[in-house]
Amino acid sequence: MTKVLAYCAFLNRAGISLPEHGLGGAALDEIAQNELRVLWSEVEWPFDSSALQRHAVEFHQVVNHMFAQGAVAPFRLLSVFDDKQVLADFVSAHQHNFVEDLNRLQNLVQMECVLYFKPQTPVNSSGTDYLQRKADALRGAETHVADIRAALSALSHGLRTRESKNGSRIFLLVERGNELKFHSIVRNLPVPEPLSRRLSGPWPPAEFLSESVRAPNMAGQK
Amino acid sequence: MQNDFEPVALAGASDQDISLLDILDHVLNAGVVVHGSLVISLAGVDLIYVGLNVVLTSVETALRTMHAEENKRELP
Repeated sequence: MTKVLAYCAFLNRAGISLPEHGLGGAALDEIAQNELRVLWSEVEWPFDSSALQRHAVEFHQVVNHMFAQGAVAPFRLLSVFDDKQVLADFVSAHQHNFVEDLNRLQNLVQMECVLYFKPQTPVNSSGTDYLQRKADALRGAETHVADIRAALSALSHGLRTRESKNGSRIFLLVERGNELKFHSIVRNLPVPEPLSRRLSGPWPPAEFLSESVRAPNMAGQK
Repeated sequence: MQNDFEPVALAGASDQDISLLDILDHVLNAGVVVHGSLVISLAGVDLIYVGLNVVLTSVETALRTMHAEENKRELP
């Protein structure tokens, strides 16, 4: 069975180039309503799980192609619509919110810093020692998040953190062109042991989409 | 144990320093949710903190469930 897979929404501008194809070489099409455009293609659904990694990379490449040219609101890979008309209805119903978010996020990108507990291999340590070290590390993560927040205050157009059982994840909104500054500033902050840190980005600012865009009311859609 | 964030060589990908896990995390776990339970059930899991095998196992399980649901829907 075929379904309609939406990749991302973006604002209509002159001179935008589209990727050559979508998932599995599928032809890409778009729905345009006023200043909003949404890229989509038909896919065989459900996905073959053995192809999921390839689909993820192909999906990322399509979204990234558009993101390189301006703000996008990415859809999630496993989100599909029954047919083109359902997608068109969705775009029509939510275009105001999408346009508002895309205008707000124009020229901004999302950078990420993940702090996670990565203990050295213990030789003679007990479970209690491990848990104690982990608790200490998570307290260290809170301090490090505060340090990062302070160090990036001049660069930041928005910052969100998410805690997990293994650490913290920091999302920062910066202007396009400031990605290297982000990396440089954060790398200058020492990582407290036994935490590890990973930086990535730029990504589409998905964490900073408004709730009405990220989880729109899908009443009436199965 | 392999680092979850070890970059993975991606054929044809230009972003050499982006790991497959990063990509999976973003395409599955960030952005607009327009359809149903699968994505929502994954959304509660911060994929960046779990191993790739776990991610793929979770997704494969979810896809199998979806296959079963689709098959049921097609029955008269």
